[in-house]
Amino acid sequence: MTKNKKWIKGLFILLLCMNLTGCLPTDVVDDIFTVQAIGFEDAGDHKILGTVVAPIYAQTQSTNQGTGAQSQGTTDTFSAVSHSDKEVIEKLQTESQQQLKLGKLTVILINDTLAKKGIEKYLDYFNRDPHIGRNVFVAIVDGSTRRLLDNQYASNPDVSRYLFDLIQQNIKRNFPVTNLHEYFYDYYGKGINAFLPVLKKHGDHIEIEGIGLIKHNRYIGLLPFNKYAFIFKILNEPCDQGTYAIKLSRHNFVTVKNIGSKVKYKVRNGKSAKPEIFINVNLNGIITEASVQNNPQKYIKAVSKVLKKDLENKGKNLTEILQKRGVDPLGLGDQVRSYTRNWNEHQWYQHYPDAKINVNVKVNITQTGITE
Amino acid sequence: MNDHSLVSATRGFQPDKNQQKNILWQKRFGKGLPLIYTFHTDKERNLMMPTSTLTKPKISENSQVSPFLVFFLMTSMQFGVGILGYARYITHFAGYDAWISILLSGVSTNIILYLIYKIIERGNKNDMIAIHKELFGKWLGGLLNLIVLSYFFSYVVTILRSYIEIVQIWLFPQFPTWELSLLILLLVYTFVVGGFRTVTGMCFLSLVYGGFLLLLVYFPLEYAHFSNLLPLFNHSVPSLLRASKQMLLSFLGFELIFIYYPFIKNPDQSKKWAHAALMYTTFIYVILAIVIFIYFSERQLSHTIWSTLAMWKIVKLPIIERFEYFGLAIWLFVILPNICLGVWTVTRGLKQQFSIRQIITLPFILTAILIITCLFKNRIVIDKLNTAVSMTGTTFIYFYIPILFIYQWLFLKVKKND
Repeated sequence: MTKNKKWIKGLFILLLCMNLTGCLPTDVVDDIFTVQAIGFEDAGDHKILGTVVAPIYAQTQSTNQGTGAQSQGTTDTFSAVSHSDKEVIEKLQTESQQQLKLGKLTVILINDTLAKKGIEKYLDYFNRDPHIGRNVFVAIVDGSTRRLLDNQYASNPDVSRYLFDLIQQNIKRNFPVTNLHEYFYDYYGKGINAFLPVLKKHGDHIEIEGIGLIKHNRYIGLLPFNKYAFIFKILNEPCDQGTYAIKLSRHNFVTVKNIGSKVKYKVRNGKSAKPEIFINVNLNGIITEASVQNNPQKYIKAVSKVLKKDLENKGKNLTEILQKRGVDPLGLGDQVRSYTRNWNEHQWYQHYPDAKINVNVKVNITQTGITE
Repeated sequence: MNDHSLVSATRGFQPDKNQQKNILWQKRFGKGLPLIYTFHTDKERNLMMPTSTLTKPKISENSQVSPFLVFFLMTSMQFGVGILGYARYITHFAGYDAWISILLSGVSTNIILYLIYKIIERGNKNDMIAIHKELFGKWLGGLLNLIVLSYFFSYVVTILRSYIEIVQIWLFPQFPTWELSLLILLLVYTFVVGGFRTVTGMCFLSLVYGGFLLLLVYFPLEYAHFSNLLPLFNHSVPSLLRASKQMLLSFLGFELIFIYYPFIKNPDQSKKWAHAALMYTTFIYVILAIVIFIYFSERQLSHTIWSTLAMWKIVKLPIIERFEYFGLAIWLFVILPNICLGVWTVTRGLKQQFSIRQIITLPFILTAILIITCLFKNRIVIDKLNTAVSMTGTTFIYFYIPILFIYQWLFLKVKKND
């Protein structure tokens, strides 16, 4: 083959490549609205109200403060009422100046009355669409999602960013790990039920109310954040942050910071009618807030003892509530499965309310900070 | 050591390794003891083993490749589209014990590879085309050759069509099949025209480009549930074997050595590399399967078509928010050598069979691939194609090769006695 011929061939391929770029639709950032948060709520009469939030980059005013300041963009919020979630998104398109694209979605909110009727049908779309990431937070909202999303908050004008950061920083501390992937892991998992954070609007702030329990894809109840989030997290997964306040005496409170806890499960008689589950938590903590003491060694011992008792009680309380309601967000069934041959999911749910669950916490307080 | 040199000095020739072993053995246990196993010299072994009367193929050294490159030829041919979704298919039968099935597949393919090498060596280092012709005559042999070549051809079609399907689903739903197919096949043309050495180079590069994607298994570990793997051996042996059979599609590709064997320089040395390649593939598949198993719950995995790609969704990097798009683009370099080597094999086979030059058949083969890829329109048909090729592959590997091995042995023995 001569050199000349090769040239022609190369040119031909190059031309073909150029041709390709013309054929496919492109998404230029300036020409689309990147939806970052989406909310669904019950609009009555078997209809749902969808709300999306998209930041507007084009109208951002550049700040004159210098290089360090980040320009605070404005957001645009649209709502539409329709019969299904896909239809809502289609209807929202008709309101929007630019095309709505879901690729950068970070938060999916579902209103509590809607969640009580079933969640899966709203999330299936997001599980199926390849453009949706897995580090997306799903949350249940106590109240209207539209009112929550269509609002300017003090800490960040971009509500989707605010929601994302709020949930993320809580996951790092006291709230158990949750995102779209974990939700579907639990939802499809055998011997596990899913849970979601429950949010509520408080004036110009948003607050995590607690852990929303989900059974058969319906929202059935709430575990209050202050009471159960910490114990839920340390029973559910290893964690190395989070603070917990305990009451020593009437006016004496102490705050312990968790610097590393591990949880181990043991199961006995997994197939019998009364399975026995041992949850052993090993918690290393430091005291961050306490009144000045004369005898620190004794004090640490006393705090450890109270903390151990308190956490064990809470743990027992928690598992009792879960057993009573017949939900298993901790995945105890999954733990039993990993210890039992030929485990049967159906059988397990019959035995679950009678299961004996022992929570055993070992507290190890290593230091009291830089003062004694 | 002195002993050996003495022996060799007295007998006047250098003892080979096996003879040395015999001498050592006798030294240790005394000459009177009966030997449980006598180590034969290579010459003796060659005399015992019936070989064909075929002449050794002559391939110029300019177009041959070093024996260690067989490692890359084999691994890159095995990593195709299968690795993106194999976990789901094997868990269907063996649940989360399926990683054991992968090990079983690894062991069985190693045995088959041993048989392949033996068949080729007995056929006096000829490729499958010549061996078939010798064993079954011109017509039947030719027919078998065509069947095998069309199997290789459909293997290439499956890989290309599956990749295009993934691109259409994940990246560009509007991308017409023929356009992407044409683009890739033009690329394939430029590589295959360069000959076997260029294709081998492509295989080597694909492992380098694709290799770093394996580091991504670090990210899902943040959401690991190790208890998923317990309890071990919770499935019966038949279900493990069924999963292992299902796994074979991801192991296919190593049998192409039947055609490219004459292109390996010092082919005896390539054996260890070939076996190492199969072990490496097994190792990677097991590691990846375990990561997938601890990341997904079992029912969740059964709903996920491309588990490996879905797992990349969780990768968080400061500059790339959604890694799977990037990974999918890199994946082109992983499937490209698959197609190149496959197409080269088919054209080479046709050359051996009909004595048509490869440069002439190549455009026809590529056009045929282009047309056939466009015929498969949706997921269901593509899935059927995958199953069909997998079935054919299983039959070819687990039934045909052992039968060929035994038949060749009998054939040569009878011929020798005549």
